[in-house]
Amino acid sequence: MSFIRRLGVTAVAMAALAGPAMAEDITIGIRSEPSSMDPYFHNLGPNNAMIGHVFARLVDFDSNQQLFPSIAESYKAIDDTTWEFKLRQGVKFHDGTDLTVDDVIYSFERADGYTGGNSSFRIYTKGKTLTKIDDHTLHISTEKPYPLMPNDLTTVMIMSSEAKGTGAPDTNKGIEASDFNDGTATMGSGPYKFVEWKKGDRIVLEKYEDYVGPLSQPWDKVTFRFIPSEPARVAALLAGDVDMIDNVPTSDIATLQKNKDVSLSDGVSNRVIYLHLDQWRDNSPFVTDKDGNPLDKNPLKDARVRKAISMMINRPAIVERVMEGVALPAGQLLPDGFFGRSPNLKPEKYDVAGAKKLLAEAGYPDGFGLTIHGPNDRYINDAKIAEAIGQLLSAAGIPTKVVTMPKNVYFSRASKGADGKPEFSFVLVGWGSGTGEASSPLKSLLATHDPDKGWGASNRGRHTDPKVDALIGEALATVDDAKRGQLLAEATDIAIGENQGIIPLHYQVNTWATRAGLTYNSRTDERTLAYDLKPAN
Amino acid sequence: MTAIQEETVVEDTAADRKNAAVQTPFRRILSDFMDSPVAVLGAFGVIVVIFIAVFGPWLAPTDPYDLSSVSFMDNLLAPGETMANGTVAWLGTDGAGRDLLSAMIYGLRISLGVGVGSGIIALIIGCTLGMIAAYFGGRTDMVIMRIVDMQLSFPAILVALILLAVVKGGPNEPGYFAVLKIIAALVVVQWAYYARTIRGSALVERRKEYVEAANCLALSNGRVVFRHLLPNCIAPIIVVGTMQTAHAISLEATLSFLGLGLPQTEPSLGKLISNGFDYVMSGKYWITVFPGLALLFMIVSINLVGDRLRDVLNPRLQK
Amino acid sequence: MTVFIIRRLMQAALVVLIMSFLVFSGVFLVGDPTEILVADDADQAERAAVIESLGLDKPFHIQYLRFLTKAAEGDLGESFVFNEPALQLILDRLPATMELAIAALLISIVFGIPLGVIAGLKPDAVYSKFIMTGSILGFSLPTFWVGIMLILLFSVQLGWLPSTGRGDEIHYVFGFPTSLLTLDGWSHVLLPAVNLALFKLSAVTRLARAGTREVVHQDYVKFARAKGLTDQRVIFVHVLKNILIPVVTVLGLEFGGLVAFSVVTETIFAWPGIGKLLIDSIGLLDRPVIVAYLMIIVLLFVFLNLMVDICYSLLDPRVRLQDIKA
Repeated sequence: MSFIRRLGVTAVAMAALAGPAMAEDITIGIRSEPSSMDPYFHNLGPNNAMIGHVFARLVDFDSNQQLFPSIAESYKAIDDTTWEFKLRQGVKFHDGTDLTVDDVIYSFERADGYTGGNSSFRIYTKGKTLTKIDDHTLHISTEKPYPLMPNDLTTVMIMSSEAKGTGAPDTNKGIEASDFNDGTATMGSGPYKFVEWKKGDRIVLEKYEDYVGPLSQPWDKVTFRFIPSEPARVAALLAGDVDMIDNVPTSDIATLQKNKDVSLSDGVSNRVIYLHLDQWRDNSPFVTDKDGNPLDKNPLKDARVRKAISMMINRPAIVERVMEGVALPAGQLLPDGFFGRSPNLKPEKYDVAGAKKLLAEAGYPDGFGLTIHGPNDRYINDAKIAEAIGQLLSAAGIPTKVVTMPKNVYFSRASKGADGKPEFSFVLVGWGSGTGEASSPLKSLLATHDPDKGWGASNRGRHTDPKVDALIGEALATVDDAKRGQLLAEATDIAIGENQGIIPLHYQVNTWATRAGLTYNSRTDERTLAYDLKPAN
Repeated sequence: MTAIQEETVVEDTAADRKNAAVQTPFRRILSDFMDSPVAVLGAFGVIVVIFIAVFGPWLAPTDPYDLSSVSFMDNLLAPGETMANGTVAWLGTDGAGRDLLSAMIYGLRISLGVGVGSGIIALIIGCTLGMIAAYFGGRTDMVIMRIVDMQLSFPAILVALILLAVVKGGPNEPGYFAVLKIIAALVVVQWAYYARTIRGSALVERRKEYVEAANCLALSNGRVVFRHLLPNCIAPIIVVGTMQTAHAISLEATLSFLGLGLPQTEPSLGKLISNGFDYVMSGKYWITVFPGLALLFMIVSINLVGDRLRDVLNPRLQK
Repeated sequence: MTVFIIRRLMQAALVVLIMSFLVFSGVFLVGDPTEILVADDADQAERAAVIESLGLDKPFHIQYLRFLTKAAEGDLGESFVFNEPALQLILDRLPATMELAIAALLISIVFGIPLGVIAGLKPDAVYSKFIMTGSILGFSLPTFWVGIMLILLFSVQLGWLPSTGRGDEIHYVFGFPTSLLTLDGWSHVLLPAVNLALFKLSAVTRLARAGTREVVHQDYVKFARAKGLTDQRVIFVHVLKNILIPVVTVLGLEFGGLVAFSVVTETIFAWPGIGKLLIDSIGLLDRPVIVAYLMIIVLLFVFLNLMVDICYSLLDPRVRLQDIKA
């Protein structure tokens, strides 16, 4: 088999020498299969990446999550509450019809009213009013000033208002998820056309010849194959069955680097791995004395104790040994280069003596017992990181048990437990900022847990500080970028620097591997996109 | 072929007859067993495994389950390298910095306990129910066999997952609790295999004259089942038993592989292998190869003994 | 016979009903999937909306009754993850798994029975010992480990076979899609089938050997030999017929096992069958798919048991269906 395949590659190469470029096909082995081709069904990483080939967005993120106009040719805020978007001329859907403002409005309506999805895009569409000025001019207004307008628009993909489904016309414009999955309604204006989806096996896309827009189209036919097992994915690349793989396991990177037939590209992601500590219960279930008996109060409520735990963690060593060098030590919510970072916060220095002094100050000179809970199939090396933390704390005088479990059990227990409250005391979690700036993690992880406001949804330690809440609130209403960045940085300084509301560990670095002769433009948003894969020069 | 074989059978029989007068059944079984050098080798292996399992904590150079002494700074050392505390890791260290030799010795205890423990419990439950189903037939048989059907279709991973979610451990959950959960999951998954196999054999035996004779003598049901039916079904029980024990051990490894096995910090042999799975492409062969060899040694030993026992205990192979 | 079968079918319906309850409540106990389905950014209102749209806000008995009502109309619910009918998802993927299971079953029968009979006829020969020790390897090593080793050896090192996936070309035979009509299809199925077959191959070999060992000592075989029948005839007619009972039992069940739990093999080899679907569904607590899947599998097991019992009565005249009319 693989010789036939190799012969094929040679034939292509020879043809390329002989004359103008011939059809170039590419096969990419990815870990996660999307759950749907419906752009509004499920706001999920693999979906947003895959569907983004077929459906374009008004504004899009480049590989560093910097904004660039896509279907929109340009955009600007014309007053405090209204943004104007000019659509590119000549953009056509895959069936040849023109893309106009009507399609954009139709798409927003379907996204906003979506019923039956698994986390809709409503959080990005709500409160926005779309007004058609002409076929290529759109005004979007909000009641209050809203600085994240362009960021929000990177999430909603634009579908054709003439796409036909087979379902009942009253829900989701009469188009069901299955209509997208079989291609009936998969009508976008992106650089690639949908060909087929063999569930559990592959998705095939084909170059859209009449594409108009800023994205490149380096391949004629793209096949995404789903290979969930990590070593098998690496093996598929080494065997020549696929041309690129994503999520290269850290344990294999050193070996692959030595392999001349493979080239690697890695880049830091927008995902921070951190620890959340119970800051709201007076008696936390998994904090005990050293013999495992309950304590009369919860030491984790004391910021000094949290700080001490942070100082007991040797971040560079974890990065070096556990992550095999493929991660960056973290001191806050986002790595360098992202919007809203604090210039003051550096990764905490490893200082056991200092930590013990702080513990003694807080009234725990002999330490106490702790259990860390973490997932074992969610983040890169998650179980190993939890174990390393357990080792470090145990050696520094806080005997720590390590419990890891699959994400399906872990997250509902970590967030809701049996009584709707977080069940654990000390958890390992990660957060990727979908908006590419600091307000998203601040709002979800460190703002006071408040269901009515929609804040603190993932605040599993229930950190709360009115100053932080006020700063986030002010930032979210400040359109001026410089000022907003400052407010977010200030909020981060208080929430992490002073309060140690969470303990950041490291930023994940994602790695892609290609066969020699190709190069992948690594992305902070962890997406694997065929148009970011190019022949190496 | 037939001539030679008949000859050996005749010889065996003659020897048996000669010894029968002076030997208790146990000694006869023992001497029969010793006739096979391979089985003796297997028995030796089993003794080694049991020895390691019992005296593990005294044999191991370090305590791999003590989090305060294990350090990930020592991880992924190649065999023969020295760890930070001066101990030489003869078989290298794993991804968490445990001395692999120590981890294997400790892990062997757990794997053996899980495999044999779940195997025996499942065997008792399965055989009893299988016998009852075959002997009584009718409605009893129907109910038991339909439960078996359900059980066979229930995947181990789902059982383990439900146990994990439902039996929530508090901060003081002792270490063996996790082991018990895994044993429970494995028993739930395995007993039906025994029941189904035993019932099949017992159905055949039931129609035979000796059972009818026993029934005619008005012996109690229990006596007929356990004194007459059971010994005659012993061969398939041992075949399935030794295999299922081995299977249980590797199933535990598979559960670990799926993230549902034993605790991260107290790995069994199976868990060590599944941890090593991350490293198969990396050239760090020792992380997965040594625990794999240990597992193989253990299972092969058990099965060599099991194979011979089956032949020795089977009444129909004795002339 | 007919009464026997009808009775069995009625039992099957009851079994499926009980099974649906067990699985439904089991997955219910594990928890709800919203925490892993929703986007990180989703706020509490959005999470509540997802819970409501999946019907998970209702108490258990309401959820289960609603499921039963729909199931009575033949609708086993829509997948939480894919939003498509659970039954359809399973049926779409079933042929790939069937293909794999049949290939694995063939491997275990074609190699297992002859190896077992050979080892059973001459138990003391060196090659018999070799066969028996080799068969132990088949069930000692965890499937996932053997699987990746097969890939390393045959795909990466030797480059003979593709590492993962199923053949591209799908042909329809009597309406069933299969990839096995092309060489490419076979080259894809070979490694996973061997991986899946290893345990069964060992089981068949050992059962066949054990059976042969017993049968050659039985009077009718001795009698057959005394009559001067050739060895071949003795083996094929008398020995084979008598060792088939345990082999058929185990194979019947194991085929169910092959279809139901090819989970690990399918995951490693990225085989688009129902095993991979099951593991993904369990991973995401996609209850409608898990419940529908296990209802189908338990039906399969009941059916296989029925077939096994019928085979018994055909293969061994001593077993009569009246005895096992249960």
